[in-house]
Amino acid sequence: MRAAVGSAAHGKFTGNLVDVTTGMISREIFVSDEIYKRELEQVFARAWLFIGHESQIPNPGDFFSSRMGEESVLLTRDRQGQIHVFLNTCRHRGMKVCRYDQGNTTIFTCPYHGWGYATDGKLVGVPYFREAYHEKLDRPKWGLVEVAQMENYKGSIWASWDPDAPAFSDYLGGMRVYLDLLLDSRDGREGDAEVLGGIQKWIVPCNWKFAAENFVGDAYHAISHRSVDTVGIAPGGKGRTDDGTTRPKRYAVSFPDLGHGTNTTIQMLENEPYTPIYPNVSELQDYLKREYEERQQRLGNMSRLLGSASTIFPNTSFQPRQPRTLAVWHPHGPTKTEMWRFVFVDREAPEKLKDLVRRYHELSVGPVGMTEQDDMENWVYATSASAGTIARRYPYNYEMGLGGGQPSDFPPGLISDVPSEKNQRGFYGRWAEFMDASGWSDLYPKRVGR
Amino acid sequence: MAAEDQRYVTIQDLAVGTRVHLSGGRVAEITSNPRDGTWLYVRHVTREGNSEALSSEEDLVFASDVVGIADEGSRG
Ligand code: FES
Ligand SMILES: [Fe+2]
Repeated sequence: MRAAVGSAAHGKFTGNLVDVTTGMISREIFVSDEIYKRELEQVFARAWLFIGHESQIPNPGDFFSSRMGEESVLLTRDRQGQIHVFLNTCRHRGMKVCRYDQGNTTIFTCPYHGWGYATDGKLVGVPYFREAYHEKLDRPKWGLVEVAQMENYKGSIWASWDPDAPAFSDYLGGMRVYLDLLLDSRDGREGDAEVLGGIQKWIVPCNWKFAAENFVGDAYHAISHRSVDTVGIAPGGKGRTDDGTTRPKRYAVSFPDLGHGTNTTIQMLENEPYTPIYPNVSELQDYLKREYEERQQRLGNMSRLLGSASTIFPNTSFQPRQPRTLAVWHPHGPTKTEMWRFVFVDREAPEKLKDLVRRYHELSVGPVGMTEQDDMENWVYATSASAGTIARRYPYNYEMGLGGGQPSDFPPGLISDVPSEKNQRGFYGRWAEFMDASGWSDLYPKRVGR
Repeated sequence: MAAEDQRYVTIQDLAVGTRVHLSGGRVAEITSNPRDGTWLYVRHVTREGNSEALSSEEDLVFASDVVGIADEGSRG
C-alpha cells in the first residue's frame, strides 16, 4: 500500500489508507501532519467526547478545566446548579479566561483587558462599558462559546461541538452496558461513582490512536506485561489484578458500526460464590462480600458481566475492574498525546478501600504506573519507528480473526472468544468513515456490521 | 483621604460589607469579592431624603472605577 496522503490526493480513507477487509492500515494515519489536521476537524469537532464527572464540580461556582481535541474547555456548575461546557477563550482577543486546573469562582475574569464571564457563560463584566462602548456592545452575543450538545450520563459529562450529532445514548449504542460497569456502584445500584483525588496528566510522544486501539480490545499484548505479572503488582501480590474471579471467560466485544470496543470477562455461573477480592486485606472482606452478593441479587444474570479494557470512540478509554479508571487520550499533534487518568470509586466505599484503590492505581497505571509504562514504551517506539520515509510505505497488519465475530445477546455486541483484531478493525473503519464523511448525515443512522 | 491617594486600592483584599467610592460620585457596598483584582460585586447605596438603602440589583464594578474606601464595614 503506497497511497498518497491527504484527502484530495488519495480519495477516500475507507478502503484505501484504512482497508478493514484485508486488515491493512497505513502508517500515515499515525504520523502525517496533514491527516492529523483533518482528524481534528472530522473526528474531534464532531464526536461525543468525555469532559469530566459531576463529582468534580459538586457546588455552584465549581469548575474543572478539560479538553476537547486540542482545545481547552471549562466544565462549570453555575449559580443555579446547571452544568455547562465552554470553550476556554475570551471572545475579545482570545486570551484563555481560566488558567487553573479546577476551583470555585463567581466570575471568570480575562487577564488581558478584564472581560468577566459568569459561570453560566454570560458576559457580565465589560470594563468601560459606559464610557468607551457607550453601552452599545451587545453583551448577550459575546458570552463564552458553549458546546452544541452536552449530556450527563450517570454523572459522567460528555459533549459534542456538532449540533447534528445523534443523541449521546444513540452514539453510545450497545456499549452502554460496559460503560455502566465503570459508573454504577459495585453493588449494582445505578451511578453512585465518584472521581477520587486529582487527575493524572502527562505527555507522551505517540499518536493518540495507539492508546485508543490498545484499549478497544488488544488482548494479544499480554506478553508486554509479563514482567508486572511476574512481579505481582496487585495488592494481593499475585499478578496484575486481585479481582476474585474464578474461571472467567474472556471475549473481544465490538460495535463496529459505532467504533467502540471492549475486552470483557464474564463469570461462568450466575450464582458464582464470592471469591475474595483484595484477599489479603481482611478488614475489607465483609464489605466486599456484601457488595458482591447485593450485585448478584440486583442484576441477576447481568452480574456475570465484569468488563475489562474498553474504548468509546474516539479517545475515551476505561477499565471498570482493577484499577477502576478512565483515560482520555488528548491529541497534541500526530506524534504527541496528553494522557489523563481519572480514578473511580464508589462514593460510599470505606476510606480504607479508597486508599487501597488510590495506591494500587498509582502503582499500576498513569505516568509512573508499571503496567502503563509497558504500554507507553510500545506506543512511543512504534510511533517513532513508523515516521520514517521508508517505514511509512509499509502498512500495519490487522488480519487476526479476519471475517470473524458473531452477534451476541450476552455479552452484548459482536463477539469473539479467541483473541481477534476485529475490535481494532471496527475502530479504524469508523475512524475512516468520519474522515470521509461530509457530516453526521453520512454517519448516522448507518448499517450495522462490518 | 483624597481619591488620588487611593488610585491603587488593593481591591482583591476588600471584605464583603466594605463601602467604596466609585468614579462619578456613587457609593456601593461589596456583596461578594471574587478576589481577581478586577471586579467586585456590589449593591449601590441609594438615598431618599435622610434614609439610605441598597439597590436590589447586584452590579459588577471594575477595579479602576473604585476610587476609594468609604467605610470598612462591619461584616468584614
Ligand atoms: S482578550 Fe479578554 S478581555 Fe481582551
Ligand atoms: Fe497493556
